[in-house]
Amino acid sequence: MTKFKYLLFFLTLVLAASCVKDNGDPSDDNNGGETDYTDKYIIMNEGAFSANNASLSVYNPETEEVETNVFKDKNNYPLGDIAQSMSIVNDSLLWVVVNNSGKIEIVNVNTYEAIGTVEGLTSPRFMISINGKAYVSDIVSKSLSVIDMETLDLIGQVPLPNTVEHIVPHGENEIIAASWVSNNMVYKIDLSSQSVTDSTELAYEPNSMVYDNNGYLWVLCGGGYAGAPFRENPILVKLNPGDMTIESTYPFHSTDSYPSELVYNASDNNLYFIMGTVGADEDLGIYRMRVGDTAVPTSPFVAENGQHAFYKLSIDSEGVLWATDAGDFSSPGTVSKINPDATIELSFTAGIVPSAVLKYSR
Amino acid sequence: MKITWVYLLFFTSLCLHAQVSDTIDIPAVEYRYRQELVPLFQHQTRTYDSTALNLYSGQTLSQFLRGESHAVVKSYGPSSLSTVSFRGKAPSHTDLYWNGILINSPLVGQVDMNSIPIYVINALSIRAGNSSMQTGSGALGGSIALQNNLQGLDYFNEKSENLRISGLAEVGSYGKRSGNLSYQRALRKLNLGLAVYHEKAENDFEYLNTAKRIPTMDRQSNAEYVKWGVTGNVSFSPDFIRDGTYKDTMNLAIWYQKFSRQVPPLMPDLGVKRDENQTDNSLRIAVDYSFRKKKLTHELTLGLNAEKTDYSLYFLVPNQRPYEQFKALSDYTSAQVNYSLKTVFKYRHHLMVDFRNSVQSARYSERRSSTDFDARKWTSQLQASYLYSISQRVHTELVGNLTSHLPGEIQANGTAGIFYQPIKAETYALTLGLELGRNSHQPTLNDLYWEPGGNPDLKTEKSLEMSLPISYSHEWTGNEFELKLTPYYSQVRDWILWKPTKYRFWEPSNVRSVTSTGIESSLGWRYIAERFNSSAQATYTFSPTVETTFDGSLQIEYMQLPYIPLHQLQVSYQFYLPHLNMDFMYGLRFNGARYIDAPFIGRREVLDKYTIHDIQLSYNWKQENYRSRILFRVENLLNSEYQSIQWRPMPGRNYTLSFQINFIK
Repeated sequence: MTKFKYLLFFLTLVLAASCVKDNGDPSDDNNGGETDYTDKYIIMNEGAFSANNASLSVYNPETEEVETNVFKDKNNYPLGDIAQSMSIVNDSLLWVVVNNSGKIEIVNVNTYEAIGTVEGLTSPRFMISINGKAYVSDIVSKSLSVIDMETLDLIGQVPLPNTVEHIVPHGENEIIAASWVSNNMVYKIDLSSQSVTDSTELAYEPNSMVYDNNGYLWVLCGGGYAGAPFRENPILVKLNPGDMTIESTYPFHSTDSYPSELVYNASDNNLYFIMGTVGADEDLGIYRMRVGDTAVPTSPFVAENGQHAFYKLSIDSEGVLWATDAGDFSSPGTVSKINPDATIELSFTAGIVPSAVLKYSR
Repeated sequence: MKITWVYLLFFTSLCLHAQVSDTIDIPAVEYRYRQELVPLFQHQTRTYDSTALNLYSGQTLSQFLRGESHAVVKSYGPSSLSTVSFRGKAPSHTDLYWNGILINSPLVGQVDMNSIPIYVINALSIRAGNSSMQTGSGALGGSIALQNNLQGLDYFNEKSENLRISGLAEVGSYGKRSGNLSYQRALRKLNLGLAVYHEKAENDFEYLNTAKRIPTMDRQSNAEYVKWGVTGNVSFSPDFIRDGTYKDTMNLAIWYQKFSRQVPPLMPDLGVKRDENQTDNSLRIAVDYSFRKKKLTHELTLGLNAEKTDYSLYFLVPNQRPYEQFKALSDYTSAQVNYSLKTVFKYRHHLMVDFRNSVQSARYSERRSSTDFDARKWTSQLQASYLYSISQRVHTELVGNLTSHLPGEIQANGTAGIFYQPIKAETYALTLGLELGRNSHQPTLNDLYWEPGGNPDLKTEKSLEMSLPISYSHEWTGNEFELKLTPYYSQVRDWILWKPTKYRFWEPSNVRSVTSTGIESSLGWRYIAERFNSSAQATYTFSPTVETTFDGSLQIEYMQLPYIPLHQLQVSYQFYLPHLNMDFMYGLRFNGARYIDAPFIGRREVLDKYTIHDIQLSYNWKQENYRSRILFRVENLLNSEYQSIQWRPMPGRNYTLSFQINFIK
C-alpha cells in the first residue's frame, strides 16, 4: 500500500502544477465593440507582411482612447495582408487598398461594416476616383485597374509601359502616374483613349507626388534602393502637370540620403518628407521645406534622435501633420500629432505598422 | 499518372507475394540503441526506437514531433515549412543531428522538419534543455538526434537475420502516393544497406476560408510537392572479437534528397494567382570510425552537410508574361570533424572528452534586387564530461565546454547535476534531480552577413537554465507505470531579433531577454498480457514564456511570446491483440490558444486552441520469410478546422492506406 502513496503524491504534484495561475492564457481575451463618434481619426495599420493582420484603429480625440481592430471586430474576418492606402469616397465609405491580398475593402466609415470587396487585383497600391470610376495602380501589373464604384466590378485595365505607384488626377480626364519600381518616369494617361499621352524622365524611383496650392506637382525621387545598380542622388522635382515640363529640381546632398513620404500641407504651404540615411543619425527625421525655398533643407524639422523611427506621414483635413512610427514592425506602432513648432502634441499606440491617418467628421 | 501506375504495380505485386497466414509479429523491428556513456543525461532524453517510428511511417519528422514530444511545432501546412522549438526558445535554438552530424542550415540556423521523412530514421532521441549539451553547445532549447543505420543485422548470430528486403507503398487523401524500398545485407566484415523513397501529393485539400467576407469552402491551390531520396549505409569491421563485438568499426552513411514543392498562398487568396516554388537538394554524408582498446574508446566522425535551394515567386498577371517577384538561389556546405574519447575507470567514474570542429560556408543571391553574399564561419568546441556515482543512489555529472567561433571570443558553457534516488526497490523507484547549465548560441550566417542588414557585430546568445527533474516508476503484475515531471526555469540574454533600421531595411541585433518558466510532464503506462497488450501515454507541457528587459525585471506579467501555447497536451493509447494480429492506436493533440502578435500592453490577437484526434488500425501477418502489415490511418477524425500558423489552412479529415512487406532471411 505504501508504494501507492508515492504514486498518489506525484499525481498530486502534476495536478498542482497544472493549477498555476495563468492569466496570460490568450483565450481569456475578449473582443471590443464598435464605436460611433462625431469626430474621429481613422488609422490604417499595414500589418506585417504575409501575416494577414492589417487593421483599422480609431482614435477618439474627446476621450483620447484608441479602439483597435475595428474592422475585424465588426466583420469577423481580417482586413487583409498589407493595407497600402485608404481614402474616403462619398463622405461615408472608406476604400482600403490591401496590397498583398489583391483586393480593396469598402467599409462604412461610421459602423466599420464591410460593404463590399473588389477582388482579383494583382498587387494594388493606390487609388483615385474620377467620374464614378476608381483607378488603381499596381506594383506588378503594368496597368491601371478600372473599377465601377457602383457595382464594384473590375471593368477594365489601362495598359502602361511600366508599373506605377503614386497616381494623382489631372483634370477630369487625365491621370499622372509615377513609375516607382526600378524606373524614373512619370506618365500622363488619357482616360478617354486609355493610353499614355506624355511622359517625363526624372531621377530613379519617384516614390511620392503631391500638388501644391499653385497647381504644381512635386515629385520626390528616392534615387533607387540601396545597392541598386542605377542608384543616384535623390532629387525633389517641381513639375508642371500641364505640359509635363520640369520647373525646378532640388537635389539632395548625397546618395546616402533616402527621402520618401512627401506630403503637402495646403494650410501652411509646406512640403514634408521623411529622411532615411546611411549617414549621420542626426540627419534622420521629418523634414520641412517651404514651397519657394531654393534648396532642400539640411537639418530635420523633427529629428528622430534615437527616440523615433518615423515611417509614414499624413496631413489631415485640418492641415495637421501626423507621423507614424512602426517600431519593430511586428508589435503595435505609435501615431504622433506634430505641431507647427515641431513639438509632438500627443502620441498613442495604434496597430501593427501604422501608416496613414485620416480625420473623419460626421 | 505514370507514378500512380508504378505505385499500383508495386502494391499489387507485393499483395501477390503476401498471402495471409495466421502468425504475426512484424512490427517489433528490434533496434538496439548505442549504449550512451553518459547515462545520467538519459534522464532528460526521450528515445524512440524503430517500433515507435514505424507508427508514423509515410509521415514527416514534424508530424512525429507534434504527436510525441514536448516541442512546439509551427507548421505552415503539409509539405510547407515546419519548425520546432523547446521551452520557449526559437526554432534556431533547436539542433538537429543526423548520424552524429549537425544538419541545421548555417544560413537560418534551423531545419524544415517537414522535409525529413520518417523513412530515413531508425531511431530518434530528444534532449531538452541542459541535456542537449551532450552533443555540444548551441542548442538552447534542445536537440534532436536522428539515426539512420543498419539495424538488427548480425552475421554472427545464427538467430538473427542477415538479409532484409523491405517495401512500403502508401496511398492517401489529396493525391498522396508514397513508397520506399530498402535492401540490407550482413556479411562477415561488411554490412550494406540501400534505400530509395519517393513521395508526392497534390495537397489540394478543402478548407473553410474564414479570411473572406463571406466564408466559403475553398480548395488549397499551388501546394503540390514531390520528394525523393536515397540513403546508403556501409559498415565495415576489419577486426572483431570472439564475442561478436568489434574492436574497430567504420560506418559510412549517405543521404541525398530532392524536395520540390509549391508554396501555397495565404488566405484569403483573392488576388492574382501566384506561382511560388521551392526546390531543395540536400546531401549529407557521415563517416564514423570507432576504435576500442582496453578501457578507451576513440571515435572519429567526419561529416558533410550541403544543401542548394532554389526559390522563386511569380505573379501570373493576365495578358502579361509572369512577373518575377523573387528569384533566389542559396547554397551552403558544412564540413564537420568530431573526435571523441570515452573511458570508464573504477566503475564509478566516466569520462568523455570531445573535440568538435566545423567550417560552414554559404552563398545567397537574389536576382531581382541584385543582392548577394558569400560567407564562411569556423567553430571549435572542446568538451569534457565527467560522471561520478557517489553511491548506488547518488550520481553526479559535470560538463564543461569551450566554444569559439568569433575572432577572440571563447564562450564557456557547462552543466552540473546531481541525481538522488531516495526510493529504490525492485519494482519501484523515485529519482530527484537538479541540473544547472549555461549554454550559448552563435548568430547564423544570415544574422551576420545578410545583404543588406547583416550585422557582424552581433553577440552570442547566452542562456542559463535550471531544471528539477523528478521521475517515478512502478511495476506490478503485468503493468509498468512511469511519471516524469521536469519543472524548469531558463533565461536567454542577447536574444537576436531582426528589426527595421534607419536605412529602411531590417537588421538583427541583440535586443531582448526571454524568460521561460514551465513544466514538462509525461505519464506512461503499459500492460502486457497473453491476449492483450496495451499502452497509454500522456504528455503535458506548460510553458509561460515572457520577454524581459535587459536588467532582468519583467516588463509586464505574462506577456506570453507569440505562437508559444501555454498549454499543450498529447495523449496516445495503443492496444495490440496478439491472437488477432491487430494493432489499434488513438492519438489526441491539444494545442492551447496562442498569441500571434508581439507582446504589448493592450488587446492582442489570438489564434484559437484546437484538439485533433487521429486513429489507426493495422493488421500484421507472417508467412515463411515474409512479414507484412497493412495499415489504415485517419487523421483529424472529427474534421476540425484549425490553423497552426494564422491564415495557413490545415487539412480536415484525411485517410491513408499503407502496405508494408519485409523479406527476411
